[in-house]
Amino acid sequence: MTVKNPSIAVEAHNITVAYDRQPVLWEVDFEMPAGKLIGIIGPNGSGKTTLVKTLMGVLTPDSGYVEIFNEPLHEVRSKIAYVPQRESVDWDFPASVYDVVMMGRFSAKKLFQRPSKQDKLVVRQSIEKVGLTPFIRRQIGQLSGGQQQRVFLARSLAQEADIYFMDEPFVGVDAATETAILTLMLTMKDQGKTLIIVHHDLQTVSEYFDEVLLLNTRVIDYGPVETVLTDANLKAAYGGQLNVLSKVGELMKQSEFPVREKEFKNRTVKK
Amino acid sequence: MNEVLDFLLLREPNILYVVIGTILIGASAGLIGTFAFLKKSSLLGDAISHAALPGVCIGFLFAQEKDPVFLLLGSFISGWIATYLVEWITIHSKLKKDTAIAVILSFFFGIGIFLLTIIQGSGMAAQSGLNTFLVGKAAAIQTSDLLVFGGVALLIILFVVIYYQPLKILVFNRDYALSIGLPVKTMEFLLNSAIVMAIAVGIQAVGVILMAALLITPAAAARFWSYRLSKLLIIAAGIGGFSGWFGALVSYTAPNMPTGPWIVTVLSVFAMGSAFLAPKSGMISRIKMGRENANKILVENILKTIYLFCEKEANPLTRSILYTDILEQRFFTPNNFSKGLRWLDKKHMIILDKNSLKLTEQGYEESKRVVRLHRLWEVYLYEKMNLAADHIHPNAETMEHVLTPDLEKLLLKELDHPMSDPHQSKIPK
Ligand SMILES: Nc1ncnc2c1ncn2[C@@H]1O[C@H](COP(=O)(O)OP(=O)(O)OP(=O)(O)O)[C@@H](O)[C@H]1O
Ligand SMILES: [Mg+2]
Repeated sequence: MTVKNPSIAVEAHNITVAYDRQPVLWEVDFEMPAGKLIGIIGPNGSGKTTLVKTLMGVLTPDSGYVEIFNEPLHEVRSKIAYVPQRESVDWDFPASVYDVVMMGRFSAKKLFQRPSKQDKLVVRQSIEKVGLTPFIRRQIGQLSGGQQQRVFLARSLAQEADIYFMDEPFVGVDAATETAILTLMLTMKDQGKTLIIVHHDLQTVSEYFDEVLLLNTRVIDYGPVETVLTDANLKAAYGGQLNVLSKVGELMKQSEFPVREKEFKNRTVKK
Repeated sequence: MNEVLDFLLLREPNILYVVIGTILIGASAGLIGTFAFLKKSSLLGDAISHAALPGVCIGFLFAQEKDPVFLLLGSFISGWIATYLVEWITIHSKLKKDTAIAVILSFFFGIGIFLLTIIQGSGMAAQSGLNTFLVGKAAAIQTSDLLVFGGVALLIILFVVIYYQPLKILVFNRDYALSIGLPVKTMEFLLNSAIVMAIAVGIQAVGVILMAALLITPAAAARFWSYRLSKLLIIAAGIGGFSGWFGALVSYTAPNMPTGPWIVTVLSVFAMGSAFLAPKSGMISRIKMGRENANKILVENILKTIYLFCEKEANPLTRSILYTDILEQRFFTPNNFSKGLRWLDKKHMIILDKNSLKLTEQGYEESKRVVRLHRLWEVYLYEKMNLAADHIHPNAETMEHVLTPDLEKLLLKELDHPMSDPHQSKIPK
C-alpha cells in the first residue's frame, strides 16, 4: 500500500470517539470515493453528527485518524465545507443572510482581509442559487425553518470547496425546495464535488445517493445503496440490536475505564 | 453648578484625563461585553467582577500602596482563576453552570470582603481608597493610573476592531470556526482575557458589585436598535462610553457620591428607553402601530358602510346619509363612530351636517377602493381557495384593510377583472 488511490476523498481509519468516556463511535473505518453523493443514515443518537464533526476535525477522535484526499486534515481545510444541523446554531445572533453567507468566504488564512469584489459576487450568487435573494438583508432569526436551512447551504456554496459535509440539509424543507436542493447537489456532483450528507428519510435514500453508510455507533454496512439497505442491515441499525455495545459503553463510563490504552492513543498518521 | 461647568468645558487638565479615561473604560466594557452577551455568559461576567475583589486586595497588600499595575494584575489573575474554576466545576462535577457561577461568585466575594476588613483594620496609610472598589469612584482615579487603565481599555478596543471577523465567526458558530481551521482555543483565551481585563479596568469606575451592568447592559440596550453586529458594537460602545463619562461627572461634582450606582442608573435609562423607543421592536412604536391599524380599520369600515347607500345612486355625491341609517346597517360603538367621523371630516373624505353626512369626491373614491378590495378578495377566496360563499365574508373583512395597491393589481390580473362578487354585488371600478 505505498501508492494511494487518488480518487479517495475521505478515509476514516479505525475511529473511536467518546463523550465522557462513553463511546458513541466505535472502530469506524471506511474509504469514501471522490465525486459521489454519499449518504450517512442511522437512527437518532447513532453518532451521525459526531462522525461528520470528526471527519472535519471539529472533534478529535480518541483513537484512529482521518485523511482527506490522502492528506491529514489540517493540510486540506480549504477544500472542506460544512452545513451544520440547524438546531446547533444561535438564531438570535445579530447577522443577516448576507452576513452569514459571507462567513463562507473567510478562511483561517485571509481573516483580516476585507471582502473583495469576487467575494461579494460569489456570496450573491450562492444566495441566488438557493433562492434566498428576496431575504438577503433579513435577520436570520426571522426566516422560516426551511429558509434557515438554505442559509447554511448558501454559506457552504460560498466556501467553494471540494468536499461538502451536510448535516440533515433536508430537515424542515418543503417538497419543492427539497427537489431544488437535490438538483443543486447533482450539479455539484457533476462538477466533481464530493457530497457527504447525513440523512434520515429512508424512503428517499435509494433515489438520492450513490452510496450509503449505515451507522449505529459502529458501521453496520457501507457501499452501493442496493447492497446496504437490506432487511437484515436495517434491523441491525434500527432494531435496538445494540445491546452489547451500549452495555459495554455504560460500563466504561461507570468504571471510569479509559477508552484506549495510552500507547494506542497517539499513533502516528503515516504508516 | 460651577463644578458642572468646569467639568463640561474641561477647564482643568486633570478633568480632561478623567474624561478620556472613563470614556475609554466604558466604551471598552460595552464593546467586549457585547461578545459576552452574545456568548450568553452574562452571569459569568458578574462572577468575574465579584471575583476581582480579592485580587485587588492582594495586589494592594503586595505593593503596600494603590499601585495601578498591581491592582490590575491582581484583579486580572483572580478573575481568570474564577473563570477557570467555573469551567472546571461544570466539567468535573454534576453541578450546572449557573450553580457553579453562584458558588464561585460568593466564595471569591467573601474572601475579598474578608481581606478588605483586614486591610482596613491594619491602619495602613494608603488603604483609605480601597473601599471605592466596592461601589466605584471615577474621579478618584489619579492621572497616572489613568494612563494604565486608559491604555488597557484602548488595547481591548483595538483587539475587537482587529479581530472582528474571527470573533464574529467564533461566537456565532464555534464548530464552523473549527472546521475552517481557526485557532479557536487561542481566540477563546484572548476573548476571555479581554473580558476579564475590561472588568479589571472597569471596577475602578463602577466597583465590583455593579460592574456586570457596565459589561452587559450596553449590548442589551443596543440589541433593540440593530441586528447587525457591527452597528451593535458601535452603539454598545457609545452607550458604555457615555455612561462612563456621566459617572465621572457625578463623581467630580459630588465627591461623596459613589459612582457605580449612578453609572448603572444611566445604563438602565438607556436600556428602558430603548425598550420603549426603538423603531419597530420598541414598545411605543408597536403601540402606535396598533393604534394606527385600529383607526384604519374603523374609518375604512365606516366608508364601506356609507358606500352601500351611495352605490345605487346616479349621483352619489349629492346623497345625504343619516347617521342613524349608517348605525342601523352596521354596529359601531358611539365613541368609535364619532371618532371615525371626525377623522374622515378632517381628511376631507366626508362633509358633516347636523345628523347626516355627504361623501366628497375623494371620500367616494376611497370608499370604492375599500369595497373593491373586499369584493375582490371574496372572489379570490371563492374561486381560488374553494371556500363556500357564506364562509368568505369574515376573512375578507380583515384582508380589505391589509391589501396594498400592488396586491390589488395582482388580484385583478389573476382573477381576470371580475365584474361581480360571489354574492352578485357589483365590484366597483
Ligand atoms: N456534547 C456531548 N456530550 C455528551 N454526549 C453527547 C454530546 N453530543 C452528543 N452526545 C451523545 O452522543 C450520541 C450521538 O450523538 P449525535 O449527535 O452524533 O447523534 P446523531 O446521529 O447525529 O443524532 P440525530 O439524528 O438526533 O441528529 C448521542 O447519544 C448523544 O446523546
Ligand atoms: Mg445529528
